[in-house]
Amino acid sequence: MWRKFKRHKAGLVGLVSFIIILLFIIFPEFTAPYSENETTSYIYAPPQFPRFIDENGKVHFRPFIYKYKPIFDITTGKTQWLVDTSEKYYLSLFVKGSPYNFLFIKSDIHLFGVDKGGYIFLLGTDGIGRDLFTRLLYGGRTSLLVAFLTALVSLGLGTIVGLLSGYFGGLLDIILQRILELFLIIPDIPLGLALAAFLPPDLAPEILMFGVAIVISITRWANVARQIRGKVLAIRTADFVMAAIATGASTFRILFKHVLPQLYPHLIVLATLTIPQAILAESALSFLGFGIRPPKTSWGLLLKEAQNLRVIALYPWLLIPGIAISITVLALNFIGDGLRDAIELHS
Amino acid sequence: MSQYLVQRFVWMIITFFLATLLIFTIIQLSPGDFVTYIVSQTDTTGGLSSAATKLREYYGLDKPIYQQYFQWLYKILRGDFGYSFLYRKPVIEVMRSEILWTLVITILSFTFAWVVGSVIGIYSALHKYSVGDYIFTALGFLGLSSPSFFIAMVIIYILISAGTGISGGLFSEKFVAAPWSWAKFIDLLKHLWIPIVVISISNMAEVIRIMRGSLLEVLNQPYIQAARAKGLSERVVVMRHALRNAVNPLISLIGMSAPKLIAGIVQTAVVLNLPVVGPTYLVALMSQDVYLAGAYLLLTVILLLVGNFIADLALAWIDPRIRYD
Repeated sequence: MWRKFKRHKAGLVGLVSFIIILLFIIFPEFTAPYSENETTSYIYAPPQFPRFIDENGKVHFRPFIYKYKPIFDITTGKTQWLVDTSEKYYLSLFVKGSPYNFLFIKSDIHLFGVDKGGYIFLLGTDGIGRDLFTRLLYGGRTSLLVAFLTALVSLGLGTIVGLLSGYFGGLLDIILQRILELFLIIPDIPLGLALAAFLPPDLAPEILMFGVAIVISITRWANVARQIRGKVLAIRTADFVMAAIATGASTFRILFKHVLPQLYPHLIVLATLTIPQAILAESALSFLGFGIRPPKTSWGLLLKEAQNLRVIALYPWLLIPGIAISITVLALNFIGDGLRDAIELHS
Repeated sequence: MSQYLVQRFVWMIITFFLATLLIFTIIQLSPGDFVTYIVSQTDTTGGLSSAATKLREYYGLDKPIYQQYFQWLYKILRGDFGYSFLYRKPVIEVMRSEILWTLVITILSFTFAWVVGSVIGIYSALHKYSVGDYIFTALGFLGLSSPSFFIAMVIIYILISAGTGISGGLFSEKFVAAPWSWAKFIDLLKHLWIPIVVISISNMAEVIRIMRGSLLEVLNQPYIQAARAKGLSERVVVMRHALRNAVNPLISLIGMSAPKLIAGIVQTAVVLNLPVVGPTYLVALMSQDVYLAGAYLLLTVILLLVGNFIADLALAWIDPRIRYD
């Protein structure tokens, strides 16, 4: 089966990309040069690319960036950032930065950074001077975590309902199907918004993440249930199920020991396809203000800060989280497609 | 066939009632009610409880929940969608102009997504693995993977950098309040294409994928080979025989994709400043304007139920097998 997956090139590309993204996102305390809400005085600074060649044409081995010098424009009242070639900050690996606490690891080493006194803003800064690259990583972790939780809850709920509906059939099936249809008809975003409005505003950030996950799951579970039901209908008439019933196995046992294991491959595919949908849903909710709230950040919330036209026009790098969303969702979709091709051909 | 239609119609009505129940429950889930919101907004302390009680009586919020539900349902069935606390107007008045635009944009986006999507899908299937096929598939995937509001923001950015004055909304400043004229219509078109393109992109991607897959599957069938062997021109084979069968899964898709269309509109409306029902819905939710929010959800559900019903009709018409099920 792994071999079949390898044949699907897009799936492989997706898998590699996603792993790379995951590596950066899992431990942003380390991989990002700054901490989540660390503000600086560099407001709306554009992205800086590390250079190797300086203004005199000399090549340096260590990449460096130039300092930013603020220029206050009297006519527009805005501060512009000009590259100041007089000062160079060299990049180093494993720099001492702000201290952090990750589970049980206390440290202050960051993957990369610049010498003291300098700042490196790979993707620019936002309206209060926070480094976008850092927030992108932290936000990514939140977004992915919520999506993961959503997949868990919606798959759990959907599988149970799908199993019951598909296996028992009859009146139960008809009733459950109508309920499913109901949830499928109501558009997910408006439903999610209504449910999210119900989350109290002073909820702890971690619990809020869980709450958002549950809200999105409620909009997604019907899809899962419908697909599981279809598969269960097919499995129900299989020989080994008949045999199990003939030997007097209890219904519970049949469901969990015989039918459910048949569903595992499909569940994996469903999970890989639910997670990207959950990412999109969460970003939409957060963008509209009904999802993740500060101080936590997520990709959707980052885009919310780029909402008005002035900001988009003047500081377009703030749109980068959207690209992050697209790439991650694309990668996950490819993985899901590859898995689906491998599994459907297999069973 | 008529038996099938009646069956679907009855289910539609039943689903509608279930939906009202669900919507009402959700709206009421938030702690407190509109009066709580007013109290929080007026920012005074103490002495308000008697006023709050009077307000509750006035708005009918002190009656038990199930009574409120039936009152609401009863009014809905007579066409009265309730009273918006926030705007101090009947809900229908608040939503009237927005509903019009929502319908216009929905129908246009839908048609655009499906017509263009089908054409591209057919082209993709007939020219499998060509450059065009790859490009369209890639674009389709990208459209599928990006959030609608993000696509809207990117398009706005491109338009602004290119120097056009178009930045969302449906009309330029000078035309907003002006009476209808040919120039105003042109201006509308210049603005309208943005939301239509943005909203239809994700739907289009789905349509292209399914049309392509479905047509390819159909083209491999024996009866297509037979048609070719008979000597029919390729065009007739595709148009008259293959397509008719390939369209089958697409019709089922119509019902499923309509909700996504609405969701897309809500997101994009915020970015593009469209006078559709989306942004008001958000405000209603935040201020617990129960009737307004409920009416919006209900209207959406009605729209989708009707759409689904039409899709079922179309499917039964096109595929005779369904009628005798």
